[in-house]
Amino acid sequence: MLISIMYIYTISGTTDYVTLMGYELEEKVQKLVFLGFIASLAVKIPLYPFHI
Amino acid sequence: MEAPVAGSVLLAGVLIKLGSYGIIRYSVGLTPLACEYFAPVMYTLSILGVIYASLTTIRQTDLKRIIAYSSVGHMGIVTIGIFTMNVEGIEGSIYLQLGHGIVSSGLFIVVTLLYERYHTRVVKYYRGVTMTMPIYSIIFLVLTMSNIGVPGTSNYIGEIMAIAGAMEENALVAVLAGVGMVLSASYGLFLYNRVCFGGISSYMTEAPRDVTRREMYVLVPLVVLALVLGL
Repeated sequence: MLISIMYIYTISGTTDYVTLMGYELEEKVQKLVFLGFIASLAVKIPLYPFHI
Repeated sequence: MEAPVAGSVLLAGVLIKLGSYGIIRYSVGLTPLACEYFAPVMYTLSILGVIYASLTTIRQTDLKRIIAYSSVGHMGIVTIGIFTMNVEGIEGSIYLQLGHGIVSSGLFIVVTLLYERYHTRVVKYYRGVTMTMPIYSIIFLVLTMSNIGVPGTSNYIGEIMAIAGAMEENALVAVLAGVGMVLSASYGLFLYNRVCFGGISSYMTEAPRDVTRREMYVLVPLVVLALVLGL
């Protein structure tokens, strides 16, 4: 998750959520960022392979 | 699993919802194209989670463990609702989180009351609680029914909306999520039946006392909220 946030910061120059809403990420970048976020959030929600 | 009741209630009621909040906020908000791309994977994981967690829950013999494992199944439905990416799905999953937070916390408290009286959490030692603790049984029944998702309770609205949202995207996902809800009914009713009905268990030797005033102050708001949110 932190790596995803840092990656967003390096390519867009901001971590402000409201500013980022007006900033369209490329699809390839979106997929990588999504994987980074879901890896941490899936542990938080007990999603199936991470629920132990 | 050996956590105190306050820890369990906070974990089930608040902390678990942070994950799905993060998905709604970050994944759906910042990366909508990737969400559509990865939706089939997330559906698969969620459905596996719902069915596998429910089947695991049926085999548990520990009161608190049954309640804790049931959260995994319900959060699977929440994830399915989020990744449908339509209004019904996302609103239904938010509503289901709200209802689950109330109902699961209530069930943890209810189970802990039993543990405080008899100092065991194994289901097989309990039988016939309706005879000795009638008010407790009614509260337990309402919360169990809410956890199953009987119409008129808060979880029903969330589940029906999340499954309706999934039906728009993919009928198979909706059907398998429905199978998960049937399994959740099986372990919910199994738990209530074994604990509350039947003759009084010979292991329950201590003088029983019903729900005290202090415990009512904790439980009544949760029961009322579970019913009011389901109107």
